[in-house]
Amino acid sequence: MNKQYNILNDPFLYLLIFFGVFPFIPLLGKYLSLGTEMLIWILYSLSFNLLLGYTGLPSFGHGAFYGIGSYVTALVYLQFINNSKNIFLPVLAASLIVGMLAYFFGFIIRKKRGIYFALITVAFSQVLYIIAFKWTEVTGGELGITRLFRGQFLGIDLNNSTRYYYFVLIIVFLGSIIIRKITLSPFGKVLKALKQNETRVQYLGYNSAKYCCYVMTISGIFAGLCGGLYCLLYGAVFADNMHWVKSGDVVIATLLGGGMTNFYGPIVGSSIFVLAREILSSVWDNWMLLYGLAFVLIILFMPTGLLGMVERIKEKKHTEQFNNNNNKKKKDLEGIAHKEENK
Amino acid sequence: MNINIILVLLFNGVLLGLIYAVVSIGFSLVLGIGQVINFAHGLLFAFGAYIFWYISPIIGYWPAFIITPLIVGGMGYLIEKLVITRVYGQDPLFGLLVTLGISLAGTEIIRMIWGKLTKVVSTPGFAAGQVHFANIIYPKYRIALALISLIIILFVWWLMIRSNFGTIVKAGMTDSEMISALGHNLPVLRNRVFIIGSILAGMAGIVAAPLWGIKSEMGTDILMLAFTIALIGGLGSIKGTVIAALVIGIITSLGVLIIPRLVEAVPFILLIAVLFYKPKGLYGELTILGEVTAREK
Amino acid sequence: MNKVKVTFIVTLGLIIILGCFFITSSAAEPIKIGAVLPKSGNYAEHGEMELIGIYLAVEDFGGEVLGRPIELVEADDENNPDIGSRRARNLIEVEGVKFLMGGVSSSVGLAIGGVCEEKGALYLATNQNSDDFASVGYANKYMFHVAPGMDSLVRGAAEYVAENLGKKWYFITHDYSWGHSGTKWARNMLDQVGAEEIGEIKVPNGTRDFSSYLLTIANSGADVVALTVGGLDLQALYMQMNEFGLFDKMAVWCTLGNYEDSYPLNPEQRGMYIGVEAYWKESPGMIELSNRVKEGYPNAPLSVASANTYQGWLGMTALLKAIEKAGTTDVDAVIKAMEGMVICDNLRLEPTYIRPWDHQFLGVYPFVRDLQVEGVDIFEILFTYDSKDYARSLSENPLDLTAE
Repeated sequence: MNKQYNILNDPFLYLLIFFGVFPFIPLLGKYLSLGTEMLIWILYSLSFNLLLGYTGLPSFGHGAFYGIGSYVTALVYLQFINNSKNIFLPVLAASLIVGMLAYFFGFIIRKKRGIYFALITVAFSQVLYIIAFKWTEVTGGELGITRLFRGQFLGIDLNNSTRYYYFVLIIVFLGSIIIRKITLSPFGKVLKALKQNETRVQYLGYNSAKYCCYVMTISGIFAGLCGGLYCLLYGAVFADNMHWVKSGDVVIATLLGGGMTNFYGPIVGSSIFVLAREILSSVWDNWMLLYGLAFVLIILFMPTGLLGMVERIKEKKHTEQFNNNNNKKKKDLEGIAHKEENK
Repeated sequence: MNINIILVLLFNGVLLGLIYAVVSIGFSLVLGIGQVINFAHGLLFAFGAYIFWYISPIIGYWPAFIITPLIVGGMGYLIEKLVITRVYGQDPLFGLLVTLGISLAGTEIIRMIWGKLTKVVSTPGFAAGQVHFANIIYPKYRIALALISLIIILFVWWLMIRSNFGTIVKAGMTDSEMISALGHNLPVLRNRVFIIGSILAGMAGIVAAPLWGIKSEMGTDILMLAFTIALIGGLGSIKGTVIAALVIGIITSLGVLIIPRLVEAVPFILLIAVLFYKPKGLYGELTILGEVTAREK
Repeated sequence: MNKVKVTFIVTLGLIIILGCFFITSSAAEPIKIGAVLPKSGNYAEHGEMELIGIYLAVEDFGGEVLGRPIELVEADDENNPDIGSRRARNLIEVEGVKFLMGGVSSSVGLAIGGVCEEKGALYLATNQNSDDFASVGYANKYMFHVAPGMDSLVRGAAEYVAENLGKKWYFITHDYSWGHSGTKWARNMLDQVGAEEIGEIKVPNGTRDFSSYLLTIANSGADVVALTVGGLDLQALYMQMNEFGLFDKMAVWCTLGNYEDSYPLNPEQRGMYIGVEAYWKESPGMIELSNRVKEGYPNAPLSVASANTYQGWLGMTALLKAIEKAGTTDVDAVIKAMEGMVICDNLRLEPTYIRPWDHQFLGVYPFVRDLQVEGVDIFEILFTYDSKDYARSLSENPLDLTAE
């Protein structure tokens, strides 16, 4: 099926428009930092979903990639570019270094699946968290690294929140397009097949372990990139985000939107998650109760997420319509047959 | 280095191990036999401690010791019936996430009921004071708790290995169809295992509370430990859990002499090693989770 | 309607609906002051007590300053520096808050301090005790440190400990920067007071079980245990020290402790010597504050004013006085007004002084022993000391925040 690419049908167009005008929306627009964070989460959860939704690898340690990306950015910034303050290098360094780590990690666990995969990612990320917390000389320990000011990029000063927002928007947009291209490519198709039936894919001649390793690397590159952007957003890095329970945040955000079945699921899920978390916590002290309940309800009743539900509703409507049409036709035919009889 | 101190630390490690074992055993059983990753185990553990703290001044130490696990068992029953039954057979990840959600929500409920201040349980009369041997002072209470833990472990062992119930449940784990065909009610069996796991969690809370304090985060704290020990020892295997718990207890205790800063990471490193080289754990048996590793190579 | 448009509309719709909850009032007349402190998690009760202090201070000023009403905006830092700094940033960017205060955890406070520096807002770290708040590398002109640093707390008590409790010290250090700072200053005083270090144990954050550490210490021949351990780990440690009969063998010196940590214990379990930041019975003014807590906030975790309450009160009082003195809400002017300020009606027996070059609040602090009694009067004040004499001097901490 080769549909002509119609830009008007492309959700990315609308998302770009929406996020493009976000700073100008009357009340919402003031929350620039929140908006920037939403964008970062979008790319982050899309990269995560390559593992969970597409390949069926439940990574509970993604927070570690994100966190290391942040630290690398902070350290490269402090070490190398304090003077010229060009932020291109730290962010790039974050993606590359995390990508390499992800490759290494992906290689080691390329043959693990399912819950063992999940548990190993938890264990690894906890070890990294403990190191980040203790290695005060490098990571600042529990105080983290703070007071980082954004420099410039290609001559444009990014200290202004609005400019940084647009900078992040462009990067996230490009990154998302790349990820989408990956999912639609032959590589992406193999991943989807892996999720459904790995044995068959192997029989078809694909080295499934290699694919798992590669997807981990790609996912890591983007996660590291997001970590770097986040570090520069708030000008600080802390170890807390590497704790495995925090990694659960991205899992829930992805599932909420429908990452299991829909490419755009994580986008919807992240946006809602980031916003809801802010609102809920400022409104109610015991909001964790709702957060926990949300987990439960989503898994029990909406494992395919919001977009999954939307699709089911549409399907139901389609079937209803189809049935109605059929019934109508039946009635017409019966009517005619009746008339024929009565003649 | 004084040989005395090494011996005492060893002894301390063994006692610690026994207590860790009680904490982990419920988790291991539910995971190995019920095939559910019960992240709400920590929550039930916390409830055990809080409820015990609350009712023991009213009805006395031993009555509370008996009633609290029953209450926690009841909670486990509810959780199983309302939530877990819906995730049986699905991707185990769902079980993990849903129980994690319950744990987060439940911890908040604990905070809402009992407030944020830590609670403290006093040492009961029969175990107060210390024993003195060779210049070392050791609290009687710990020894008492370790003995209680030992009794609990032996009882569970008898229940699962020796009794009929245990055999049936284990058979159900390997071949559920056959067991149903033989006339046993599998859902009820699974429910019972979950309840037992919950009762154990509650008891563990009672045992640990006086040692480590009662705070709302105690559940999530203990979870890491419990599942690390359960995995290292092998899911569903009581012998494995106890041995793994003893190993970790001893390492933790002796570790203070060698590399105190890294002691925290040791359980995780062991876990990683086990997951790589012996995913079934030391004494584990093949479970539905193990199936996926059978696909490798 | 095709999938694309549905996706778009669902997203857009949900975001707008959620976004509408963010309706904020326009910042015109009232002066907004932000309080970012733990409302959930490990230090929630400390945060709650601190908030009460802040409320009482606003009350004392009649709820207004410079003829404008004071509007307090609260945020939960969840004891997490990432979240705390994010909320602080939101308060500044969205609500237009220019003055922030509060907090218990040093890492959160320093993070918020960084945000305030970036955004040009004033921040008072009320209950965090790390000396980093007034140290080169972290301190900046927008930050003020209300609580005493570990330098004052430890050095102020060291002499007493050496003279009266023992000269062979064993250190228990909570293994992160605050913990390290406590032990560092104690070491700093060893020569001066004629004490010696027998050993040190670094205890990881979140340790539940101290049995092996305590056994080692009990066997070490030390006569004083100098510990710098915080919050919930401190309570577990406390209980276990009791279990192991450590209080009979040696004196335990807790370099910094809080009422909230000692109060929940059973009387027979107490017995430490503690450096505290305030005690509700130390002066008539403090007793009165305490009564107000009891009467006004019957559901609070404590029925007395703890050090957290007092320092929350003090921070807000200092801020309001500075705004009044400056006659404007311009942040730089308020900073200048606060530097060098002396607060006589600070509820204590001696005034508080805000040192200009490091923005550190200085005053007289008590050193106590906790008692095995029932009720709320659980501390006995052994002596008091002036932190001016023990806080770091300019040569130890070459800083000049007035020059920035």
